[in-house]
Parts: sequence; C-alpha cells; structure tokens
Amino acid sequence: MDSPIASFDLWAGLFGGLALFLFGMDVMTQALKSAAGDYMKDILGKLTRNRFVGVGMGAFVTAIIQSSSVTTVILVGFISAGLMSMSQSVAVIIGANIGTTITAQILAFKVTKLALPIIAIGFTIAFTATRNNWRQYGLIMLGLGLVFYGMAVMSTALNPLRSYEPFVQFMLSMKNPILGAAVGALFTAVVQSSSATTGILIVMASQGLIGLEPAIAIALGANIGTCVTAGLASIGKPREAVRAAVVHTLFNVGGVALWIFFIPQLAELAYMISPAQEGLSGADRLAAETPRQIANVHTFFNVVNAFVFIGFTTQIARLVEWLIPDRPIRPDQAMLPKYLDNSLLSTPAIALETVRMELGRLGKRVSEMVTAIMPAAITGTRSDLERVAVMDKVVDALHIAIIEYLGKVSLKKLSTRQSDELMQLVAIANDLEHIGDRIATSMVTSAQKRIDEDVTVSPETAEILGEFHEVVSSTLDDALKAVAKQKPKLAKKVRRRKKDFSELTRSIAEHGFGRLTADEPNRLNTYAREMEVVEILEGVFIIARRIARTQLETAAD
Amino acid sequence: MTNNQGANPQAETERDQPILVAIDFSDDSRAALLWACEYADCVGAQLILLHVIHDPASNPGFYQSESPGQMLPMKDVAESMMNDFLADTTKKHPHLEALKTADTHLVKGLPPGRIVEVADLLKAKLIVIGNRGMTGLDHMLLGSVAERVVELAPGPVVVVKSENRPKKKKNKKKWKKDRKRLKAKLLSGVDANG
Repeated sequence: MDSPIASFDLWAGLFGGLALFLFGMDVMTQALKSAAGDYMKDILGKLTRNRFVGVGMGAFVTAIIQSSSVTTVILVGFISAGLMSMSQSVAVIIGANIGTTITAQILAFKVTKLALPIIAIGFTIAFTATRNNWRQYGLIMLGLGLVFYGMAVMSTALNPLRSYEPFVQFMLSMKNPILGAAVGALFTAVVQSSSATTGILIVMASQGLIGLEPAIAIALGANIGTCVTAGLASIGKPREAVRAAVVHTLFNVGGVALWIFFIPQLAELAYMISPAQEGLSGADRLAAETPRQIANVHTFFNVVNAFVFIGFTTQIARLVEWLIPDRPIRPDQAMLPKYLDNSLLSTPAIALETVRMELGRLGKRVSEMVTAIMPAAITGTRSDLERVAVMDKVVDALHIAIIEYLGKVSLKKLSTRQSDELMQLVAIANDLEHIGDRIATSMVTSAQKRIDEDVTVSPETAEILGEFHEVVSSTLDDALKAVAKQKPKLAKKVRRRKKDFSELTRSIAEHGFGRLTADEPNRLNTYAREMEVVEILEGVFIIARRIARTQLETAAD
Repeated sequence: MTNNQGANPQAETERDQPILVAIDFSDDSRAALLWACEYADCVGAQLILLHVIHDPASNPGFYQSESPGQMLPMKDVAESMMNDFLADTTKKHPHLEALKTADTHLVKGLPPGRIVEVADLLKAKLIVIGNRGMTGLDHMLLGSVAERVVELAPGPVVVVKSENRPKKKKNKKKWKKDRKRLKAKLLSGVDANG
C-alpha cells in the first residue's frame, strides 16, 4: 500500500482546503467589517468605565467579526489614534477571547453538508443585490460557506490517515501538553487565525484522527499564536498601542499557563458537559463526540480565563506600563499626522473618521495661522512675518499626509457613501491648504511691501481691519467645528453669513476710499495695502463658506 | 507636546527658568497651582501648567467620561479640561497675575517620568505638584505620583496638599454616621410597628 503521507490528494486537499478556509474567513471578515464598521465604531465609542461592559463589548465585537486578532488590531489602531487608552482596552481584549468561542461552537456542528447550499445562496445574493448592504450580507454567507467547504475538503483529504500507523503514532506523541501547545501556537502564528486551528482540530477530531487531550493542548497553544497578529500590528506604533498588544499576549499566555497542566481535568469536564452519542461505539463514537467536546472546552477555558483575569485589569495595566516604559519625548511632532493609522485602512468607515480628526488638527494649524497673521500683517516686523510663513510648513506636511492617506483609503472597497465622503474630505483638506498658502504667500508678501514702502496703518483703520479679521477668523473656526463635529446646523449658519459679510466688506471699502482723500503721507500705498488685506481675508471667508458647503453635502449624503 | 497659549514678552525673558505645575484637575493640583501662582508672582517667573495624558489603570475612562457616547481624541478632551480648569481658577482668583500669562502643555505618557522629563526640557527651576496619593496596598507597592516625582527629579519639588481633603473625609464619615443613624431609626420603626 502507498503511504498516504506521499499521496498528492492528501496534500492538495489539506492545503487547498486550508486555503479555502482562510479565504472564506477573509471574505467573511471583510464583508462583516464593511457592513458593521460604522456600528463597531459606535459600540467602541460608548466604552464606559465599567470593565464588565468592556468585556461584553470585546466579546460582542469579536463574535461579529469572528476574529480576536482583528479586534485587537482595531484596538491598537484606536489607541494609536489617541481615541482610547490602553487601560480601557484591557477589558475589551479579555472579552475578545470569549467572542472567538462562538466560531468554534458553530464549526462543531456538522456544517460541512451545508457548505454548498450556503455558498450558492450567498453567491446569488452577493451578485444580484443592488444595495451595498445586501451585497455584503451575501458575501458574509459566501465566506461562511467557503469556510465550511474548506473544512469538508480537508476532512476528505485526511480520511486515509485514519489507518496510517506512523501518523497515529505521531498524534499519540502529542500527549505532551507543552509540545501540543507549541504546535498550536506555531500553526496559528503562521496562518494568523486561531479559528483556522480550532477548525482543523474539529475536522481532525471528526475523522477520529486526534483525541480530546492533544486537541485541548493545541487549542490552548492557538491562543498564544493568535497574539502574533496584534504584535505585528503594533510595531512602530506609540507606546500605548504596543502596551495593548502586550496585554493581549500576557493575558493569553497567562490563560494557557493556568490550564496547561490541567488538561486531563479539562477533558473530564468536556465529557461531562457535552452530549454523548449513546448509539455509537469505538472510533465512530469518538469522531461524533469529540468536535463538540473541543468546542465546549474551548468555550470553558476562555470564559473562565476572562472571569479570572477581569479582577486583575488594574494590575495587568500597571505591569505592562512597567514592562514597556515611555520613549523619550520628541521635541516637535507637529508635522507628523497623529490619527492616521495604516492598520485602520482595512476598515474604511473608521479610517475616514480618523481623517476627519486629522483634518481637525490641520484646521487648527490653519486657524492659528489666520489668527497670527493679523497683528503681523498690520504692525509686525519681518521676523514676525517669517514666523507665520514657517507655520505653513506644518500645514503643508499635514496636508500631504492626509491626501496620501486618503489615496490609500480610496484603494479599498468603499460604498458609494464612503466614496463621496472621501472626495469631500479631499476637498476640505485642499481648501485648508489653500488658506495656508494665501496667508503664507499673499498676505506675507503684502505685509512685506508695507514694510518696504514704510506704510503705517492708522489706529482707526487697524481697529476696523481687526474686527473684519475677527469675523473671518470666527467663520473659519465655525466651519472647522462643523466639519470636525459633523454639525450641519453650524455649517448652515456659516453659509448664511454671506449677506452680512458683503455689507461689512462694502463699508470697509467705503471707509478706505474715504481715507484716500485724507491729507496723509503715502496714502495711495496705504490704501493699496489695506485693500489687499481685505481682499485676502475675503478670500479666506469664501473658502471657509465652501468648507461649510462641502460639510453640508456630506451630511445630505 | 503642544503649546496652547501664547506667551507674553515678559514671560519670554523668564522662559529659561519657569515654574512647572503638574495638573491632574484634582483639588490638590488646584492647591498646587495657587501656591505656584503666588510664588511665581513673588519671583516674577513664568508659570507652565503641565498635564500628562494618562488614563489611570485603576479607573479607566477618565477622559471618556467627559464625552459619554462619543469617541473623542483623549488629547482634545484633556485640552478642553485644561482650558476649563485654567479658566475656572482664573475666574476664582483674578488677582493672580501669573495665571494670566501661564502657558499650558499637554504630553502623553506615564506621569512621574514625563513630569521630570518636561521639567528638564523646559529647564524649570521648580516642580510644583499636588499630593493626591494612593492608599493601602497600592500606595505600599507603587507610591503616589508626587512621591515618584520627588524621587526622580534632580531639582527642587514642592508637594502641596489641598485644604479641602480632611473636610471631605469628615463629610464622608458624617454621611456614613447619618446613614447608620437613619438605618437604626428605620429598623426601630419597623420593630415598633411590627
């Protein structure tokens, strides 16, 4: 008899099935993120101080997106963006492991028979639906069907191994719990999915290829291997984010350490709490009972771990702060984007939200420029003007970073609404950069001419220009607030200011023209410089109103 | 690190030797700020208020609670807390000149180390900090932020206690006493009726 290990069918089935499983998981997770991305953001946004609520949220979000690694990667992204603290994330990370148990419980049903019908229904919905949400629901089903089908393919491929003695002996050697856990950790780290490991365990158990105890050791190891994904996501991130990834690792390794020497007791418990197949005997009975036992014991140790560790969230957070100290402060980080995080790109709804926050930061810089220019333009020295011009470098750097990030977001699968929002955010970023340029070039050039021509603006005119500037500045601030906080009412208020502003501009022009007749030295040059200031500020006002209009278009979508 | 308030020319001349006040928005840090203001007014030094953005492990959600249901950047929340704190203190103590020219700084990290690091970067002549400490086991294991700062700082540190604190404890004790009395009264009422 040929060795089944050398059989093409075995390896083709095993790797092909695993590829289908992982591809199915990916399709499902992407579709779930796309359909539920906005809700996830809302759910995590409602984080409270209560650690039990945090655990519940972690479990819920993970059960929805079917991956504790994805939950932790999202948390790392949120923490990097400064939206959440590591201390808050501890409970959510603890809860995430409970969420993963749902996957194992679903896989332990005899789901392989359902694979093809689910694929057929999912495909039909995904490719006939006109509404994006329905297409995503179809893709979720298609992904789930592919996961089940991958399991079916692996199951068929592994079947000949049941009677292959060397393999049976190898599986027996896995009774050593440390070895089993190491295999589980390594495999999970390579495929970056603990669900794939538990899925394969369930497939092997349904073929009678693995006993309950080695399966428990491997499932425990999978909890360690799954930490690699979040660990990789935290590389190069702020210390708080690295700490969250370390919390994930500490919690999972601690949980495994707690149980690794009690595997026989866990197995006993699994026999007790899982349904027995009385009508069957021998290998058939084992094959029928073990998958559910694996799922149940997986649920048991993850839930118990959560309850054990929930009492120590404070200590875990402090331990991690001690293990990962702060990096030294870098003197100027103003030019670096704070909220844009590549790990959030896979969830466009959240990525766009972080762009909005970065725009808030860019807007603040622009607003500071607009505020700083006024005394400098009327009475400032060359070095005052230079200081304002330098501020534009930060604006330019942030603008480029935002546009580059939005370019990356645009490469992802976006809904029509998200595509529209993306274009509107591009427009707002460009408008803000345009204001920065106007101040740094036009206004500074005009003020330098004032110095060259030895023009002195009269206190009366300076006061009028100051008031005019305040109106422009507050309009810009309101437009920025309307964008950052998504307030359509405020945006409308900004739009309505046109009439008042036109009257104000006219009265300033009349005042300036009146002064032309005054008997003052250098009055023509003075008039020209004053009118330039008015013109540039008017331009800023127009752009501020345009930003408000763009925000209104976003709200209307 | 960000600078929120513009400095006046007088402050610029004093900038090389400012006084750094660590703020966590508690009563103790307000007491520390008031003490620092009076001292800064005496010696004519620039005052810098520093808040280290750090969500306490024992009570996570410190910044979230200011914006329930909304996911705001912690830095923005901290900034508005700092502005409110400063505005409120200035309103209550309008005579303190140093408050009017104070700069504010926000920095992320672990408080004791960051306070000392910022003091070093700004070449502060003095660190002033409130003494809101931990109690029991936490205090035994970790000490308070003020204690760690005293331990780490190479220069002088002033630790200020809030006058409100004992009063608060008394109030708490009084409340507990009242509750006990009320409970006893209710029970005796039940007994009498029953």
